[in-house]
Amino acid sequence: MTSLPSPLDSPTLPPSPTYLRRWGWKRPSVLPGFGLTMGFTLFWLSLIVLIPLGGMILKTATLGWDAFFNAISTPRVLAALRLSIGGALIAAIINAVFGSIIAWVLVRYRFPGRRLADALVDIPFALPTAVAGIALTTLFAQNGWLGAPLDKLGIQVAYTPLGVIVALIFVGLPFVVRTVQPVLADLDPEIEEAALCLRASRWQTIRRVILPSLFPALVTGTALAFARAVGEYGSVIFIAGNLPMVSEIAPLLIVIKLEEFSYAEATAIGTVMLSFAFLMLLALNGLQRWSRRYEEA
Amino acid sequence: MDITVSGLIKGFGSFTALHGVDLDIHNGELMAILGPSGSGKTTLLRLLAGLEQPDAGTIRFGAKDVGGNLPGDRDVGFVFQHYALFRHMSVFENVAFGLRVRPRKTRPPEAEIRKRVNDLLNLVQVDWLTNRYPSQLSGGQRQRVALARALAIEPQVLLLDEPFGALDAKVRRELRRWLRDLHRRLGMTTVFVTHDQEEALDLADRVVVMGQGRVEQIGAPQELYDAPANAFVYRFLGETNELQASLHAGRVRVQNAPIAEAARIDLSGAIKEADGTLFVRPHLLALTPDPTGVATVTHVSLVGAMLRVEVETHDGQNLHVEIPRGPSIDLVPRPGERVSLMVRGGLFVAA
Repeated sequence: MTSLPSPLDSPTLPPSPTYLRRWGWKRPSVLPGFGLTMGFTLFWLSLIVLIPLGGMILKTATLGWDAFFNAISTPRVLAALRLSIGGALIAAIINAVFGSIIAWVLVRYRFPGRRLADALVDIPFALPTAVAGIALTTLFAQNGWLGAPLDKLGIQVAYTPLGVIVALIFVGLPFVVRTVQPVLADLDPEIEEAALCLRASRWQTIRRVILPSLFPALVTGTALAFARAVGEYGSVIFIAGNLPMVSEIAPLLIVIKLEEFSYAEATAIGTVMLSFAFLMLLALNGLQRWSRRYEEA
Repeated sequence: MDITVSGLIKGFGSFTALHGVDLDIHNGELMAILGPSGSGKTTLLRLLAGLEQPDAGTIRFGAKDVGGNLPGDRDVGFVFQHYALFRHMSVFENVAFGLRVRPRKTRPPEAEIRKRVNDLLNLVQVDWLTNRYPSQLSGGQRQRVALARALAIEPQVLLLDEPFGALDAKVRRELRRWLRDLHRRLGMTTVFVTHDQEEALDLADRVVVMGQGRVEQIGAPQELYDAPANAFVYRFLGETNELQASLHAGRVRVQNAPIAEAARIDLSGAIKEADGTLFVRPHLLALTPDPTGVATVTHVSLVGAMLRVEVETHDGQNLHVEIPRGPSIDLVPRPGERVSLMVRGGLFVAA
């Protein structure tokens, strides 16, 4: 059998230096570092993310489909998932609105105490979540500073789903502010002046010019706040009251299952939350790509 | 629309950007505001647009005092130095913006908006870019889109901030010619700010020269070049040589040698006797080969329509001389040759 000469060993082409042709798909570069850093990246991602998650899914798989569906379709589990995901969504949307306003004020205006306000935004990042939870519970309990007046109006916050949302807003706020802030700082005030010269009202300028420019960052920030809130445990369990079917969150249910030694059931709930988070990130990625369609093509 | 500016003062904190500016802009005129950076030219333009409010002074559009009016109520189109296009909108939507944000009552129907925008894009010759986004355009194209967007609201006055500042030299010349044609066609009162004297002198009907928050001179380009009002304008417009000089009995003397009778010297102000500086344009200095001359040729540049010669006088002063170049390059002075100098015109400013 005769073989055709491959175009690769065509004698007319001078051999390229070895450091330029190690990988077929790799763009040749004289700057070293790809191999080493890529190796570390794969190692680290596996160690920190893939192996634990894989372990969880493997454990879930020991249940079999029927047991899996039974484990996650009990009313108590469904109620907990609904509260964790629904509450996180509501909290993220509220954070999107108020976080943007805070970012706007911090970027656009100079006022005494601005640096302090800016630092305060990071408190929810830094504070141990349990401390935050206890503080919020004290504040919103029926005899608390805020809880007492609200109670007179007939609004109960502590030990209700409302309390869960309050705690989730607290932990999610910095994500929105810190992602929107730099984008807003880069937004040239000239484009607002341009809108003003074109006789746009202030509201039209915000809706048609500023918000669309912020949208990609806002989506990212909201997604981060949401992702954080779905899995939030520490700050919620104190204020939630943890009434099954009412104010019990999914992460708490996982802990309860673990304490009952139902490890597989616990991982089943975890798997549902993981799949949900994954779908959510996928959808947000699509949304982001769409909202950035005008950038350098 | 005639614009009348009087006694305009504007400060930012402790810095005073404009110290009382008076200015008349005639209807249909193409006017340049020229000055070095920090001269207050952009501040003046932004005050005209209503993007800043003056500390004192009045601005009238026609007979109407527009002092407290926001830009939207002044009938001005403003083109920003960096275009300030809306990044998330296509070229079409950028231009349509000014029409779409009108209150429902005065907003044209969609079909008319389409027609108007397409007409404008035609006018600025970018109709083939309708669906692109600003990030996909070159600088010159962005400038044209920004102009179309400003024109969409049918302003009475067009204001442009450094319209060619961010473009490369070739595109700049091209757009300059194009803007002049466009102005001729539309006949709209147009004011632009620039720090590039060539641009101002080439394009404008009249030029306002500004320095440190004051108007130094207003006039037609040739007037400014040939009869600068003061030392600032002389230095800022075109190249100049500065000679130590003195004034005796109405005659200017340089190094105690009186200047040729035929020279046209402007004496700024009616001074009789004084020491001062004589400003002379390079083309108003003449050279003649002279072995006993006062100066030595140090450098000769042969590129272009002018011979550019640098000479050093015996007291160590460097002067630039420009001589029109003939079809051949025979009578070219060589470095090292001694020459005598003759002043054919200039401005004497007492110290």
